[in-house]
Amino acid sequence: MTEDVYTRLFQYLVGSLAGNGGIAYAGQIDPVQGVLPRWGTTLDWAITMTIALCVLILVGILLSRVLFQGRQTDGDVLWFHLLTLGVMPLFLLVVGNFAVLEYAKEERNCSGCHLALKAYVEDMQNTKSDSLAALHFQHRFAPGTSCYSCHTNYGVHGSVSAKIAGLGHALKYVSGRYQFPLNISSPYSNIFCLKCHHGAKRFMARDEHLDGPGKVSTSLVDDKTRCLDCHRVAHRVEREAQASRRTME
Amino acid sequence: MTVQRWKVVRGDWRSRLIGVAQVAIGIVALLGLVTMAVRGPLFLLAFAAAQGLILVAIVLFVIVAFFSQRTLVLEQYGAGEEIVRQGEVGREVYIVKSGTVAVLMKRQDGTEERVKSLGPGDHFGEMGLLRETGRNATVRACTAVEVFSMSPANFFSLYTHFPALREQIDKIMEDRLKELPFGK
Repeated sequence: MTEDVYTRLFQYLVGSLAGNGGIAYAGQIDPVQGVLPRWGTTLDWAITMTIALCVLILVGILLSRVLFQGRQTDGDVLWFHLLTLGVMPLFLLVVGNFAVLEYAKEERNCSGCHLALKAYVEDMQNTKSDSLAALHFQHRFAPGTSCYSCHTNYGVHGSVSAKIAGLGHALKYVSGRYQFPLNISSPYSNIFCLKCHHGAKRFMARDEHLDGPGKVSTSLVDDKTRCLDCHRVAHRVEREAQASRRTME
Repeated sequence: MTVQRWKVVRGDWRSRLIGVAQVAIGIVALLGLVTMAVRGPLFLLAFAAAQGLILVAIVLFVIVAFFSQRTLVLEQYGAGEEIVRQGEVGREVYIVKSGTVAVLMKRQDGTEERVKSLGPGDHFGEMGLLRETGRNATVRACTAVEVFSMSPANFFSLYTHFPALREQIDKIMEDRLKELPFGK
């Protein structure tokens, strides 16, 4: 009983700090968000730990300014500084960056640049839309990280490239150096589709995708035939609507 | 006579570097708090960019720690101020640069007895360090005093590498032990 109370309290704390509804973290099913992880996600923990570390560091620095006034370089005080200026900041460096990079995968981060990307996210979340983004979103292929999942290449290289590109996007958004209509920086490569669909039962059952039994078409692999040539449009966003939205806002 | 509570002059540049490091880390921590609360693209970008400040601050701290371990620190005390207190745990060794200090020991009734006075060139604090005990006596400034404090690591380095110095320190310590009135 007591353990249950503590568990709920802890979950509430983590949920609240991470800004995901707090009390809903009791392992319940949220009517809007669906099943929520009982102990929160890795991102929730990263955000909570980042906040905790920031608070500890600030308190530590303030304490050292008050308690050790005039003797900041004493041997025993240096041990205290080792904590607030060495160990905890190093943890913050790791955990904080992890939180930022993990948060960068989230749809809510992409839609944060509401002026520029709102139309894309709206289309993705539109249950009546037949765009590829909407279909993937409706089938919950990558809950919460749809944008990142479809616009990132394989492995570490893909993640790093996406993060660097994302930094560029954020810089352009913040500095206002972008123009409508938005254009993808390079043609959408089949590799983004194939990283999930290659080997999938339905994909491999279609002769158009194959050169022979179990062998995916080299034309698809080499980007000579594009997935988007046959399949429906990726995003149904009217370019004029984007531009007018910018002037409206 | 007014005795200043802290009339201690330390290497100012080191304190300033610690201050700069604290400001840098404080900015990152504050930005981290706001970023995690707001989570807007601008803040995420700023927080990611500010991480470099952490590395700068750590380097500054390492520089300060390095030099604090390897140099003498000049401390100034007003007349009447205690430099070390009997029974306290302390590992620094002090060398008197100027002024006079009194070495005082507590009697069983709680009153203090002046054991001896030390002047320029004398040192104290080594007994507690070498014998791994607390401070054997209270040392109080009789006049305005300047002393160099030496970190334990620095003292041990000298003590280990200079046999002549070691012999001299051992002899002085032996003499002082004989002089102690209460058989420490």
